[in-house]
Amino acid sequence: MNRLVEIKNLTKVFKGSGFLDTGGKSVTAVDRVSFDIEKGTIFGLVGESGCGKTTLARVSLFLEKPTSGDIIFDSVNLCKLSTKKLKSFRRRMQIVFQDPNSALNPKLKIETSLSEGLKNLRVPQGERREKVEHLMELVGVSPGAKVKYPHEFSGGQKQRLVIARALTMDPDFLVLDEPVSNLDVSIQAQIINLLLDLKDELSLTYLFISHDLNLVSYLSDRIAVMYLGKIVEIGSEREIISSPLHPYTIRLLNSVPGKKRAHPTPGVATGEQAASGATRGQVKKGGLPFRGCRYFDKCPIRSSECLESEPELIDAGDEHAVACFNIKNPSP
Amino acid sequence: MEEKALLRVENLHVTFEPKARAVRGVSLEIREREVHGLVGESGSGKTVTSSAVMGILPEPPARINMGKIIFKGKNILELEEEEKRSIRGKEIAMVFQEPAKYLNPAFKIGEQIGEMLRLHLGMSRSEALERTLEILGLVGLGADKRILNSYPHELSGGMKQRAMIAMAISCNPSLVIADEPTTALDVTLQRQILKLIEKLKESLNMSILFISHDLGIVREIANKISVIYAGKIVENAGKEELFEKPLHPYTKLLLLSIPDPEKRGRRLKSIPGKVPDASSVPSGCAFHPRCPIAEDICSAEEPPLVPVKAGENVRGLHLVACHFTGKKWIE
Repeated sequence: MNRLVEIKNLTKVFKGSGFLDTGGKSVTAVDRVSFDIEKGTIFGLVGESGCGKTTLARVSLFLEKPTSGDIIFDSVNLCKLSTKKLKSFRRRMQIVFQDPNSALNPKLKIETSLSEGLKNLRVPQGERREKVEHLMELVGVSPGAKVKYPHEFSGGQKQRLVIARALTMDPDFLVLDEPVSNLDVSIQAQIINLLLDLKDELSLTYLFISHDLNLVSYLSDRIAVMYLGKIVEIGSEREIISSPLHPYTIRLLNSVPGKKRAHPTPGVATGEQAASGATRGQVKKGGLPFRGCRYFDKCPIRSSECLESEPELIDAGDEHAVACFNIKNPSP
Repeated sequence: MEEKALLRVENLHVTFEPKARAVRGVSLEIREREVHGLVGESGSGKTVTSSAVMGILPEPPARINMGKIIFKGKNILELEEEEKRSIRGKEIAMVFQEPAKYLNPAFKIGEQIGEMLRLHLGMSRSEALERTLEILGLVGLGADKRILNSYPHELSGGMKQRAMIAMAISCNPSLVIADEPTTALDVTLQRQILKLIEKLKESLNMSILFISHDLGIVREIANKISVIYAGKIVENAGKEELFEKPLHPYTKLLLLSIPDPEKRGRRLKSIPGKVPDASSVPSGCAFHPRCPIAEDICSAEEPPLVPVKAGENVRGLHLVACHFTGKKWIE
């Protein structure tokens, strides 16, 4: 198998301006993240709001400049390219955002929105029209509707059009950032099926970002769990879902509503876990000068070691890695 | 152990000017100490129904054309404004999806809860303060003065939702309407808030109308479930019954369309088409254009919500509005 995307030690720091409550402190939104995505697979990234999922997506597409680290796309290190050379890679990687309402310009007809990218590439008009019509057909919107404006479509159709627009560039790699979270339940399955069909038909590779573990495990080949800017566990879908190791992954899995699949937390006899106080329930804002493990506050199996230094991802066998000091026998 | 009905909504019709038929004959019954889940997609009439019960529908443009809302034996639609006000907030309280929108940003949390107590229960300032601290303790915000003197913006999302719940339960209501109370929260927080609601229900003897689009969440918390589609209840049953033997095609498909690791490698069942707009509800059964088993009768006649014939396969009362209830059509 060959790797399409390799992310190595990627870090993004946002410099605080001292405006409002940042107090001039900088925020490390993504902290030394590394993972690979194989061609033709779906890589799932799970985490709660504020954990840096979207920043990671934007940085790995070079929509934001990483502070440090490397992004290797199809064996080329994007961080070392000139802006001009970078441009030819950009078309091969596209992104679909959560909210289709804000992703389409309300003042432009669908045809104009969808052919904008092609126009930039100086594709002749006839070809542009053909391509847009073909793609609209492919995502299940009648090409006759291309003269309409975004408000004339339903949410599901708008998301189909956003996907079509991403495809106009013939990408190899699509980042899907919560692509169905804003849609009605009965529409979500339509879009998910569409994404799976497109992947097979156009041999695409996906980075699928979501807070919904059910969805991510349904779709993904590999899954990474992110907490406060760092990947705390990574592995195959099977490994993560059926034998999770990190206490945060276990907590996430046990929080999935409607499921009675309780994973016992390692080292804890009863179901009552450390995190029951109200003030502990939220993901802390980034930017704190961490020493030690960032999950320490909520962790049911913490020890004094966890305050000393931060655990790094260590191999737990079967291409499964976890960042925790207190997992028994992490190596095979 | 049959509890008696606390709230009965009968054939409620609500239209919005000029011609949107948002609620088209909703009937539901909530018994004492019951958690009743109302499940539907956006635009299905969940919130309009609950706003009508709460008496906070904006009239106009909204209009209640028909129906009764019987709370503790009295039709609240016929009450004088004064009487309605004494029920709203005191006997029936509401928890909203976005606490940030419903907490007043200019007042401290303690003042907002205290106001409820003084207004509805006629407490003095010092009594109200004491009770406020007690309530904050109940919802897990710690009975210390820090939260009391905080403004909403100083609290995190989860804490705001707890404060909102504190406000709702402050006057010991018999019915709490929770409108998507966990939708805006992260999964781990969601779990905490659900646990809190469950605990409060037990200790305060409340009934809860729990509104959500998420079948998973409703499965976790409700004992009775109504499924609403295009302004009408299409199915109503106890939780186990509904999840194990859904009878309405909409409910069935909705359950099958939920992604699950066990369905890996297979395409999800999806419901074609889109949710109808309240201003152009299809004739007959509103679901017929999307329904895989629809026949001619479905577009001509609206099926009534009727009990499924009791038999060995039916547990408790199970209501369905479909012309072809019981027809086999899915593997």
